[in-house]
Formats: sequence, structure tokens, C-alpha cells
Amino acid sequence: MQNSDLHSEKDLILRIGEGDIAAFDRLFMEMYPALCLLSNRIVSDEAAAKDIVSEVFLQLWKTRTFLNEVRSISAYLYVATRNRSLNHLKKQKLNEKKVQEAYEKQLEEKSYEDILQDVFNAEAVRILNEAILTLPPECTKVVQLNIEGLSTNEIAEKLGISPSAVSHQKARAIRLLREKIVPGMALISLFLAD
Amino acid sequence: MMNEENIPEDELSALLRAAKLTVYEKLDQLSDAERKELQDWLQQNTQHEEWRTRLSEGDGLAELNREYSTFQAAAAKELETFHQQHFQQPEIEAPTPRIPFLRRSWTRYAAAVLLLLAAAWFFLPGKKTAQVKQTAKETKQVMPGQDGAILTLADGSKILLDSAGNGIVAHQSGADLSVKNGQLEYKAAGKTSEEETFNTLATPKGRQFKIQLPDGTIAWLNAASSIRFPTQFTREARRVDISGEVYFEAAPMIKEGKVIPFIVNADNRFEVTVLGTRFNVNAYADEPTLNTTLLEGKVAVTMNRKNGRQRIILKPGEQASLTMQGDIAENMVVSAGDIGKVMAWKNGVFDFEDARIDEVMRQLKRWYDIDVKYESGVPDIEFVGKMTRDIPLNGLLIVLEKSNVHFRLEGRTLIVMP
Repeated sequence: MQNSDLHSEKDLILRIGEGDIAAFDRLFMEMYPALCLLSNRIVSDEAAAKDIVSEVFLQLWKTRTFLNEVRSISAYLYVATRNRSLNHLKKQKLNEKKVQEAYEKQLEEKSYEDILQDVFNAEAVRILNEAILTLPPECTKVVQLNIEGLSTNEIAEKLGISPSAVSHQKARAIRLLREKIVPGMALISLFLAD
Repeated sequence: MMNEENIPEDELSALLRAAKLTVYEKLDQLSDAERKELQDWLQQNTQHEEWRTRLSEGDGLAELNREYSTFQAAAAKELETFHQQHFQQPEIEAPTPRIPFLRRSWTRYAAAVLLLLAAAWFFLPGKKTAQVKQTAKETKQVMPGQDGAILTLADGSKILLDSAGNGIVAHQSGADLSVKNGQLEYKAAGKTSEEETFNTLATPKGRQFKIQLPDGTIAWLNAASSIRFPTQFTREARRVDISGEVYFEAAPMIKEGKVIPFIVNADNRFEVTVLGTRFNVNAYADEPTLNTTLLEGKVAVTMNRKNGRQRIILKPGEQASLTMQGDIAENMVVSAGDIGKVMAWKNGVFDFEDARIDEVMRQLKRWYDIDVKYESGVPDIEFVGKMTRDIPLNGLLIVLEKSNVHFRLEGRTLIVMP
């Protein structure tokens, strides 16, 4: 399983490097929401976050011929998004230079660790969404709420179904995931602990 | 590789791998080997354990998931825009034009919502419209709110403002008032007077208005709101009084090297102190909590409690919610604000995502200038979705009825039926 995923990422990098727009599109759709999430956590501005992520992809496309040096494309994208977001904040501060001195000390910036937490969170949510995307809708909601920490009874109440139906959907989801999703998902298993 | 000097690559790879294993653990999909791998990573460093814990704390994951979904919903459109900008002509190495890009994506979005709504209207004629019963045949459509406000000058005279009229509306000591594109503007004029004079701008139900204060600060008033301000800011602090809901883009002001703070006083119940920033204050008397939400910059919220004052500093994205016991402030808590939802009104949208029916009805009351009655108690219903605010009430009700609630309109009273 891991070998095939490694292969598919290498393949993706290679294809984008050759100027394959379809491969680029696939990468965009798979990574865009998670990168926006990360950026928005840093700049606290959804519109700016979207712009930043589009710029990241543009940069990736422009420098695609160097992509073969990249070991992990998602790691590359997370880092590029983080850096661009931090730059955006810096630029914004320069624009506010007049008042900056007066209250700069009071503005707290996100620490290095905080941002790593944001990367961790963004990747977790991305993986979660990719996984449950392939489930039937009635399963999806149950799994989502379950992961968000609701108990079986709470989920039942929220969705207006019986607790045993919730348990049933949960079991079904786990089985389905095991059968078809985990082995084949692209980009999910990009990393080998090498 | 570029730009990676700050995060060691191995650390990042391990982090992404751990994020994946953490999710798989939650999905009950870990093999024994993977379980061991995750355990090893967690034991490597206390920070690792903390990352995993903080992901699952409180509403953390639910909140992240909501945010992720909004970006996911936007992805296809953004990709399309990306194609138009970069793939359709030979590649130009010019930087992405920032502002038009933003504007365009917003207009597109608004148009999409409208289109959706129009479709709902179009395709569900007879049956659905019949559900929004109008008892009296001659009842007119309840139209949406629009721009408009009443300005009260220092001498007590009142001026009716609407978006139609442009031009100078009044001269008074020290300031010229003019309306441009539906926005009231103050310009310093003539000599500065010794005495501070105050103006009040108020919107009735069914009206909203935008004003540029003498210091350049811009304030958007939602329906049934008001702002009282001096015609010149001459003091050590810029103080304004508000009621209802107002969004501010406060202009920075420096006098003799000192930052002059901008202070918003909401009905004497709480106060927001500002140093150049964007924030929304919702202080409607009929809302269960009074919310201050910060989009950018820094503000301090101070509430007047029976036993002294409580002060909280907000960071961007945070919201201070104040609960009241009658007229007395009881408690203030800070949480992550849903910026999209808080700012929906200013962007001309209703955002009913996860809103309870009574919350929705209070908004409709203010915007359509209607009364709302519940025929048999307040149903326990939550809504989803967004809608533009510029549609007649009937159109909106048709969409709301999809959530298994029914309405009857008698004159300007909306009756909610189970």
C-alpha cells in the first residue's frame, strides 16, 4: 500500500513537472481547503487566505520544473503557505506603520509551535475529509459527529435516529473504510517514516 | 528546496504522518504497526502529545471541520478562476491582481446564492407558495429593508437620509455633512468650536446605513441601531455611544505623538476600546448575549458589573459574549467567533448556519419590520444556509420552510406554525 502511494505522489510530481494541468488540478482540489485553513489561522482573514493559497499554487506552477527535487509535495505546500501567510502579516504591519510603534508590543504573534499545531490540525482535517468523503451520506454525518467527540446518544438525538442506528452506521463506516478506502487513497499516505 | 529553513523537513514529515495516524486512530483504522508508530511519535516529545490533545479539545475539530468545508466549497470556483487567470492566455509572470480577484469572487458567490434562491422560487410555484398563506388577499409583499436613516443634529433638528439623495445635507459648527453613494460623510470645515456638539444617526427597523465619522472611521449600522458621536473629535479619546449592531473600521488617529483611542460605549452596558482595527458590536437589547467580534487589530472589552468592572483583551477572530441579567451585566466569556456569520449582515447576507429559529426570527423582525408570533411555542429547529437580504419576505420563507417549519403571514405579523 505504501509503495503504491509513494509511487502515486512521485507520479504526480513528475506529471506536474511536465506541465500536466490535470495533475495540477487534482493537487489543487486535494490540498486547497487544508492550505486555506492553515493560512486563515495565521492571517485571520478568509479572503486573504484564499489569495495567499492561490499565489502558492501559482508559484508551484511557475517553478514546476524544479519539482523533482521535492520529496513531499504536501509538506512543500504547507511550508510555502505558512511562509506566505507570515509575509502577508508582515506587509500588513508595515502598512500600519504609523500606529505600529504605539501598540506593536501588545500584538501577540503566533509562535512557531502554534503554527505547527495549525499545520497538524489542517492535515488532520484534510485526511478526515478525504476518508469520509467516500462513505455513504448517512454514515458520513455519524462519523463526523463521532469524531467531533459526541457520544452515541448525543448523535442519535442530534440526527433524530435511534442510538442503535447510530451504532450500526458507525460499524458500517469502519468496515467500509477498512475495505476500500485505506489501501487506495492517493495523497493520504504520502509519507513513509523513512 | 525553497523556504524550508525554519521547519526541519524530517520534523514536518513526522508531523504530517502523525496527523494522519491520529485521524486513522479515531476512525479505528490503525494496524498494529501503525499504532506502535503513533505511540513512539507521541513519546518522542511532550509537544507531540500536546498537539494530538489540542486537536480534540472542546469544539476544536468541529470548528476546524466547519472552516474546512467552507474552503472546500469554494475550491472548484477558485480553481476555475485560477485557470482563467493563468492557463487561458500564454503565461504572464505578472502578480495576481489582488483586489479585483477578491471582489469578483464575492460577487460571483452572491450571484450564485441569488440564483439558487431564484431557482427555488421558480421551481416550487403552486404548492410551496400556498404554504406561505396570506390571509388577506390584498396584503402587499413584505419588502426587504434598504438604506436609510434619521440624523439628529445638535440643535435637535432631524434629517431623513436615503441612498437616493447625494450632496451636502447640512452645515453646522465645525463640520460639513454630505451624502455620497449612500454614505454620510463628515468633513471638518471652518473654525473649530470650543464646545463639543453631538449628532445622532439612527436606523429604524428595515433600514441600514453607513457613515464616515469626522476622524475617518467608518461605521455600518444594521437595522434598529444608532450611533451618537461628536461632530469633531477634539479630546484625548474618541467616544461614541451605540445601540443595536454596528460594524466599525476604526481609523488610527495620532495627536502629538499619542495614539487617541476609539471607545465604543454600548448602552452603558459595556465598552470597547480600540487602537485602529475592524470589529463588530452586537448590542441588541433583545438578544440573549451581547457580542463583540474582532476581525483585525486589537480591542479591549470592558463591562460594567455590579461588583466592579471586568476587562478582556480580544485577539483577531475572537468574540466576547456578555450575558445580561436584566440591565446588569452578569458574565463575559471569550470564544472563537464565526466571522462569516457575524459579518453576514454587513455583506448583505443572512447566515442561518446552525441558527435556532428564535435567533432567525429576531433578525427577520428587525430587517422586514414585522412582528413574530409562535402559534404553539418556539419549535426546536436549526437552520442551514445563507441568503441575500435583498429579497421579499415571502421568497425567504419559502426557503426556510424546507426546514420543516411553516409560516402564515397576517399583515405584518408572521405566525410560526409547527
